[in-house]
Amino acid sequence: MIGSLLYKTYLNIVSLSVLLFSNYVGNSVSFSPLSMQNVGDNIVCSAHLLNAFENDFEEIFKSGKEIRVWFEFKALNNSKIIHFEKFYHAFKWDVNSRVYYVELQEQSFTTTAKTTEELVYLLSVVEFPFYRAKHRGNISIELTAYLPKIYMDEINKEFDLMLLWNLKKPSVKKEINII
Amino acid sequence: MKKIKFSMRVFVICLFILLYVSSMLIQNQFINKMQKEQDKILSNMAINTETISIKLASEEEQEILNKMSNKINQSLAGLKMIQNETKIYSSLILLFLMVVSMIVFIFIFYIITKPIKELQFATEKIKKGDFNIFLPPRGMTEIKSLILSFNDMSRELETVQQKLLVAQKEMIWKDLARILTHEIKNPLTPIQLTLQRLEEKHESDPEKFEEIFYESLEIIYQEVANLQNLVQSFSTFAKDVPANPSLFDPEYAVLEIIKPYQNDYHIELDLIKDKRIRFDHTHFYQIMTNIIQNAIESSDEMGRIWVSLKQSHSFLVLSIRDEGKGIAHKDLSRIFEPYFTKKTKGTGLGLALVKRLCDANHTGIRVKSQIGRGTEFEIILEEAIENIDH
Repeated sequence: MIGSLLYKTYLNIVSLSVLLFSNYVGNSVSFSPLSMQNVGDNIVCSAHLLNAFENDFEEIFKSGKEIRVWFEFKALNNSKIIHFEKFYHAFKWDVNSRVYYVELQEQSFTTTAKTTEELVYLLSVVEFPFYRAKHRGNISIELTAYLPKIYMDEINKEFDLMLLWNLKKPSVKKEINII
Repeated sequence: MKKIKFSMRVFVICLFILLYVSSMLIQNQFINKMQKEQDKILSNMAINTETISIKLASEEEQEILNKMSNKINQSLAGLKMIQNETKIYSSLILLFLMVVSMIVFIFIFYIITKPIKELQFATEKIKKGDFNIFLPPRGMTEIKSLILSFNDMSRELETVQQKLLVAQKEMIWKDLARILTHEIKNPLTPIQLTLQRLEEKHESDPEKFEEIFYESLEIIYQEVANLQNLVQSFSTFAKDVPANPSLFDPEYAVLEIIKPYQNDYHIELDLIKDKRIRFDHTHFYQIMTNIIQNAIESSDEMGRIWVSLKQSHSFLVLSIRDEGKGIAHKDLSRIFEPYFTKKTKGTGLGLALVKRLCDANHTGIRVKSQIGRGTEFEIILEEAIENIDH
């Protein structure tokens, strides 16, 4: 609780300092509203990451490193976590074939993207099933995304990619009632 | 609208913050401009990625080129990230430094100006007559020396004030003794002379003695009465004069007071009718008679006196004006002081009593005078809106 409050304060200070003393824009990332669909015993939740890769990602995309966009899915019943899942969307630029290799972990799906636009679309769309038969009542669903730290071995340095998202983890919430 | 006043402290702090932030912003503007130039150069380097599309004859050469391209791309990504980190963290450091330097500045400024603020408060106290002040010498050398000088000055002022008080008391006693001596001597001399005359006639001319006896008694009674009046006026002045206000028409009160004087003196009246005041009736009588008496004494036989009662906003102004000798400008501020008089016959208590009675009734009194042209006293009476007490 205190940690989260301190982190929020830190984020606000960073935002203020950037606003006052920098021309840095970064990406103001957010999620589209969570949409739910009943498919058999599952509820399929889907959302889009918006404005996540607009600025300053070009060089990162082409870095040739495998980069993972992490997602955390949480279902809460009366503030108690009843379901937690963590998955990633990974990509890597292959300089030889000049395509991006993309892996969408939650869908156990691997593909390639030829263009950056295609890659951004694949990375941004999140779709995952939530087994509803086990749960009843009011459930709060929360989806959060974040970027990892990457180590650039060619220049021997680690970078926190969250800087590109202005250190803010986008998140979306929805309340559902399972009868 | 009330004008907002900024203290010196607030002004200096605001000025510092303004200048500091402006200089930071100007510096930052420059850094941003340079970073934009850097961005342009970096984007030009991205052309490297195009080189990988060149197909070379050998696979080995292609592999080498791919590795090179990967290295360049990673370096470019790293450079971009470093640039972004610089933008974010430099602004954060700048903000941190700005806040810290402002806090340090305000703290130091507060320490420097605190003694000045204390000096200001101390000066205010001195202004109100409290000279018993000692400020602990602190702060920078110049301020310390200023505080020491201030302490010396307040000590000096306190000593001077005490000396003045003693001198003033002595002067009052001397004045009182002089007045009492003079006033007691005045009736005593005629009494003594009358008694001597009676004694002389009693021995030398008994027939004449019979003749002057009652006349002499009359003189002695008169002088004894004068002595009694003198004692009475001192006694009245020494007493507390609590006001016992009642509601009355000031026009009638003035007419009653003036009536005995009107036969012998030329008094012109201009009195507003049907007004009410809440005032101690006896005090009103004493105030009026004292001022009228003064006006008569300072005027010659043909001199006229004007008594007027006029409305001025929610107040009634009672004015008594004479064409007498007038009061010198330097004496005007002293006329209400006890024992201050310029008359050969007078205790100097009349106007002092008038002032005390006015104060007791929460009423203002003012005086205008010009040598050779006369004096005017104005009493500012608050008009009452109630009905007259029955």
